[in-house]
Amino acid sequence: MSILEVKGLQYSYENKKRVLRGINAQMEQGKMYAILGPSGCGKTTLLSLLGGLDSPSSGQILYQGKDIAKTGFADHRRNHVAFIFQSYNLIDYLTPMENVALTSKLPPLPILEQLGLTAEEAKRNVLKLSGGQQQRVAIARALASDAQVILGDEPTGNLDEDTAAEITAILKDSAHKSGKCVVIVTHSNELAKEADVVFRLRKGDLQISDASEIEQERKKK
Amino acid sequence: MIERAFFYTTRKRGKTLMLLLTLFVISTFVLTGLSILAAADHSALSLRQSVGGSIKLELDENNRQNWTYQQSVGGTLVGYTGTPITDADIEKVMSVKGIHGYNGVGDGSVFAMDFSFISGFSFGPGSDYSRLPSVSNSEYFNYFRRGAFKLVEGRHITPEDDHAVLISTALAERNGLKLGDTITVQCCYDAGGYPNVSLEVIGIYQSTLDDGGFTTTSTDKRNRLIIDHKAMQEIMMHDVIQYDNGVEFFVDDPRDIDKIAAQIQKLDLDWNCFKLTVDNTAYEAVASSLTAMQNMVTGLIIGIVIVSIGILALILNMWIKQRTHETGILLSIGVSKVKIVTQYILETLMIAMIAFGLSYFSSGAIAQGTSNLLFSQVAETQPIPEIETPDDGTEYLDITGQYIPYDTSNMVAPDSIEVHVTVEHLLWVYLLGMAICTAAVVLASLPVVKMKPKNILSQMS
Repeated sequence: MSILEVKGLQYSYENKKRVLRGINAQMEQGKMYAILGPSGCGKTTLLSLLGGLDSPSSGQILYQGKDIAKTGFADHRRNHVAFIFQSYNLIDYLTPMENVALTSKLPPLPILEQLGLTAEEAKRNVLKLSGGQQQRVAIARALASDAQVILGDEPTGNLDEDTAAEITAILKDSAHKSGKCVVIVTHSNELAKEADVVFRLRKGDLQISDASEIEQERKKK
Repeated sequence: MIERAFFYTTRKRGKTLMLLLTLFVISTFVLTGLSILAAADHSALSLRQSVGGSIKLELDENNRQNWTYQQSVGGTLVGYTGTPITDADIEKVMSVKGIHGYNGVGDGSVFAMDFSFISGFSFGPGSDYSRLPSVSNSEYFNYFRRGAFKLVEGRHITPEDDHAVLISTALAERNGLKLGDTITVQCCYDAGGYPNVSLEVIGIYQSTLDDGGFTTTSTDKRNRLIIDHKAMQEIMMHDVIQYDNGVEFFVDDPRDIDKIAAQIQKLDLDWNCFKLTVDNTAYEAVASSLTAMQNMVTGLIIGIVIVSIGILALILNMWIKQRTHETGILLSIGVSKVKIVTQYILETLMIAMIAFGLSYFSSGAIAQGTSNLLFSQVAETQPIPEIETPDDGTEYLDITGQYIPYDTSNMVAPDSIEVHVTVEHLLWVYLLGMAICTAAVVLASLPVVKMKPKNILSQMS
């Protein structure tokens, strides 16, 4: 059974420009999904809608079969989903441990160590960490929560190639080993090809893209 | 939430320090202002109390039904047939809130039997007598109250006294009298048969009045013997105390005098025979000066508070707006709006509590200096009050029908007051300050928390 289901989702900006035109999709636990598409096509908007950061113009988003508009967007954000942003979005006056503790009551150090931070780094101010380390903290914060859906908005966008590969591996493990449903919005075909399912957002429609299409695009670049 | 608030205030030291300084300066101004205002209020009350105000209950001379007029050889004999003012009436009036004392005045005329008056213009034999008032409390007697007489030795007459007398320094000097001596007087009325009555000198007063050229023995203020009612009863051979010149009641605060008079008017007294006269002449004279002083201080305080609230709202608004990013992150991880705003309020209050506490000391240091500066400026612009002799003929206050002028030297608005910053003022600053801070944070947070998390986050990126 899908954990997240999108039915006839439509979204228009305040200037009436419609970016999503009746999207339908299903997402399951234990899989990593990638949403590809050109800039301005509405990828981030779709992710925001999936995470309850915004409300659709029409259509439904169901979490375990229940409409999140009815159960409440704040409740959905608090209990069902966790975000990983391109710009990390950590609270800058807290340490990595304190940032992780925002979403979890469990001790934060083990998960941070698991993601490659030392105990000493886990107690520093987050702004004193490198970009890669900050993104690991953001991932730790998402994984430490009870959320079954991890939503990533260009999570490797600000990282160098090696670090991006490591972060991609962590996200993939989160889906395959921890059983989370990971949904990534990205420009990166490198990241997309690691996904179990790739969606392509074109002119407001979401279509499943096959692996050969991605490989072709990657070669073109 | 509390933990986050604590982390923010301790780790964002620059911002915390800026807010702390702002709140410290504002609360110092407000606390200083409040202390000066309270001191000014207190000073105004003291001044009002010192100038006083009285309500006189007296026999209504205009109601002719209570008086008999009999033609005799020497002129018209006037007799009062109405209800006299009794001690029970006085008790009723004293039960009204806001009255702290009274003085009933009786009237008589006596010859000096074993001493001599200072002689004035003589109309012939038998004119060497003096009018004397009997009083309940000489401290409240209008001569003393208006500063015309000043007690220089001994004490005042109280209701407990029995055959006591206050004499002038001039009379004491003339007759070699001192405290504890006795003098003998006798009523000088034509009826005759009055007893010799001994009076003990318990106080000596100095008259500050210049009687001018023409005085008779009886109108010369230096001959005024002020005695108690029991002595007057024996001198005049009355069965009960007679308050011929009415009873004056003294109010705590002359500002309330009309309200108190209205309450007295509602009492069960014989209003066919009595009338009430309100005397707040002195208060009226200083009222404008007091009002100017209080208006200036109040205006200043209101100005400080408004400007302070404005600055505070502005700074807190900036403080919260700078945290839009953080608000978006917290919303995205499911922290409720209430908890986010509460965190911001807690942070502000934590800083405010320290700032307010520190302002207790800083305002203590500057309040007196600020007040001195302020009041010296007010005093410079305020004229010394003048109370003119009334010309309508209704304000005769002496038993001989002479007007007693006011000594206005103590009626000037003070050019400095003693200011104390008290814990009560500090508590007010805490209470008001915390309410204002809370309101300012809530108002500043509203536009941010009303936004959709996505909009906040997209604004940030």
